[in-house]
Amino acid sequence: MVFALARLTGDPAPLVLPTEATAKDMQFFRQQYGLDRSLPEQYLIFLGNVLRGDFGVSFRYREPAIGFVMAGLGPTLRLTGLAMLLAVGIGFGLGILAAVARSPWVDRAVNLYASFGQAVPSFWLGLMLVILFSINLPWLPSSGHGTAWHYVLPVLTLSIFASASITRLTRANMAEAMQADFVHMERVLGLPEVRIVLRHALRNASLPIVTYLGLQFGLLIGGAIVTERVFAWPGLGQIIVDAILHRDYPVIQATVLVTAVMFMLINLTVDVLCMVLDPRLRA
Amino acid sequence: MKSRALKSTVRQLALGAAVALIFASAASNPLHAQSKSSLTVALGADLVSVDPQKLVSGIDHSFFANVFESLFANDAEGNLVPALAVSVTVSTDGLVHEFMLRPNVKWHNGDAFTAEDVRFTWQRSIDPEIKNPRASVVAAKIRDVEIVDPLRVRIHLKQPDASLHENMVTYFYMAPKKLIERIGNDEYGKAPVGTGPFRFAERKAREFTRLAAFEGHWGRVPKVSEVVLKVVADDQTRMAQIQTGESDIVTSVPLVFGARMQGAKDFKIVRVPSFGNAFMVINNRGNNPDLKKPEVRRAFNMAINRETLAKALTFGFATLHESPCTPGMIGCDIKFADAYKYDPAAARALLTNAGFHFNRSIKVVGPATGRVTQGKETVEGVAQFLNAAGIKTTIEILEYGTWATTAFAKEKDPSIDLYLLSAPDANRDSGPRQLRTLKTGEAMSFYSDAALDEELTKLGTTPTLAAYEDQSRRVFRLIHDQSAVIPLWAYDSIYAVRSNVKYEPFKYITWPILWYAEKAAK
Repeated sequence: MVFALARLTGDPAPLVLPTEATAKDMQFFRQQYGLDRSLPEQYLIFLGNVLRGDFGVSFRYREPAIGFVMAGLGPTLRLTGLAMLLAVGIGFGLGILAAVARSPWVDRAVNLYASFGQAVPSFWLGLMLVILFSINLPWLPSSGHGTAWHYVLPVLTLSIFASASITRLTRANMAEAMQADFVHMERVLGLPEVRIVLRHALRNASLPIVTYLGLQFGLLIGGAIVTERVFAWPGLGQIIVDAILHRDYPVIQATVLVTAVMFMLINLTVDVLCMVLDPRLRA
Repeated sequence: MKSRALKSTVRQLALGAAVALIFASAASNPLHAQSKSSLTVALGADLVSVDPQKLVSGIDHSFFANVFESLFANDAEGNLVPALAVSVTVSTDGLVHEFMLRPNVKWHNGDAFTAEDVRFTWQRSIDPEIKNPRASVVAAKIRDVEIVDPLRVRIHLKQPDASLHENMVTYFYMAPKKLIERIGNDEYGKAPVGTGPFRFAERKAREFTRLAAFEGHWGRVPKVSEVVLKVVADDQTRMAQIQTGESDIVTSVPLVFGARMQGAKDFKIVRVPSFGNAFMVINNRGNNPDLKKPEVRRAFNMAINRETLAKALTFGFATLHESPCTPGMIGCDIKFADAYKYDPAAARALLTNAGFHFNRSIKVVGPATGRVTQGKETVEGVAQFLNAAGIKTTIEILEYGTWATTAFAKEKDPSIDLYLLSAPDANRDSGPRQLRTLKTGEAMSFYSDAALDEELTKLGTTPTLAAYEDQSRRVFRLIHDQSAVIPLWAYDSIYAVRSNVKYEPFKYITWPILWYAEKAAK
């Protein structure tokens, strides 16, 4: 499908070649990359090459597409992984707080944060953070990659969006779990409240949250496209945007494949985690 | 057992977070961390290639123009000056160009630059294995490169080409024969070696490319010890780089920032004219027979107030075009007594006399704003002025890729009447652009006229520069007389430069040339 969709966007020659290129240069380019052949023919060649682990050469960078994409995978995984950790920390913390505090003010404040996090576009939030923490208060680098300081703003930008929905879900599930009979029983037995909340109620409430975290991680990888551009982060997001803008089919195909494999791995991890949390699923 | 596993995971996460925090606090804050002798330049895109024979994108010149050299170069005013050649003689038929090469020029690895390298560069430029996307500009026009002695070469052309030397500046960067034959093309592409004032030091794709000053240069020893070409694609973030001091120079400053930040305290906005033009081509081969009439095309030109439009859309960061070329280009010293004067009433009268069909809508097409500066706004502005003269218009804004594909389509869409093009001239020679955009059947041409085709063909085979200038003037005159295009303007190149940096960009060059840039302590 990606193969066909990419080709529907049109001829890459005018976007890859310089404006000085003549009609002859363009024809030569198409021949070099097999773009002058029929679509079914191109597809069969593509499939044959993929089976041999060859995803083709980037039209623009003249490098093997898969190697090019893999080079961007590390920075994206580090960014989204840290953002996910922070989002889980914030989401679980605020969600549990709202569920157990039984204070309308706390509940409203947490809801306000969740609404803000979900409503604010990440490119705007990113730019606001740059203005605040890089220009007005010159504490953090505005963009780039290389030191731990460079992680702060993009991780924060990504995690605020993700943490908002985790907060809502945690709050709802924890509120329900806290009403369960086993919680009343544990209180009657005199177990410490912290133990009841963190050990028993949270464990019961966490199954749907963990499933959701898998989806959210996938969304974060998608959302990283915008954040990576704002913060000049050298990850998959920059690669895919550049590839789409220049109709670099091999890079588009390789990026989609790598992203799909990542989604599968995330889903597998979620399934394993769910089994760890709920023994009934192992039966 | 499960509980233990969970505890262990939590412990590992906590440990990881603690390590990250320690790392964060230990790492130095990179803000304002550049030393006096390191110059950081923020670019709007990453380099596509660092191999001089694989030059793809205009942004690559930011690297090549500092690390590599050709036989000629440009000076600060955009004039052609000798670089690796000290002199040239051209045969009367324009087919043989004999170059005396500069003695004592060293490659960055210490090897001597010789005539062998010039011949090798040509051979490498046309090698199908290299897939040089710009081979047709210079190398493919060469029949042979003859080595006369180690410091003298004769370039034999297939046909005369008066703009050869101009095009050599950017499309004939020298490559070292001995080194490439020893290490191969792949290795060379990872760590290229040139003769320029800076040498390649390090590159991290999509992050930065580091250049170090080359002390052994024949005459242009840099005033800073290193240059970091940093990739910051987002316009706002790139401007934040200059505001925070993380970058010393920012290139491709968007117009709106250029206008808004002129009075900034810590940096200045610097502008130089460029050949990055914008113009409307007229489709006289399409469905609308009115556009075949020169009077109609002239009336369109008179209906548009370029000055007002340029002021509104470019904030003054542009050179207005009275003719199809930018002042400063070869042959562009021509003055037209009958220059298009904004006069909507006269335009309307001209249209009425020509039997123009006022009830028929003119389709104005252009690119979305983004990769083409003010594309959408320019189309809308032109359409507004045409409307004011009583001409009905329909606007169509295309995504960049579709716009480029439409411009390059072999069969042009006959429903398009006016098409906004932005086809920057690579140097002072606008011939290739006029050819591409106006000659019948050429890649980006919506226009067709036998007389103009003939003059444009002659332009490509003119033997001497003086004759080329004359022929260019004839072409410009004819384009003007036929009102073949609606010239608009050439955008300035806008830079932001920190106050402690002394840097005046070269005129007409849209990439930073940095060997003379100086940086003082803050």
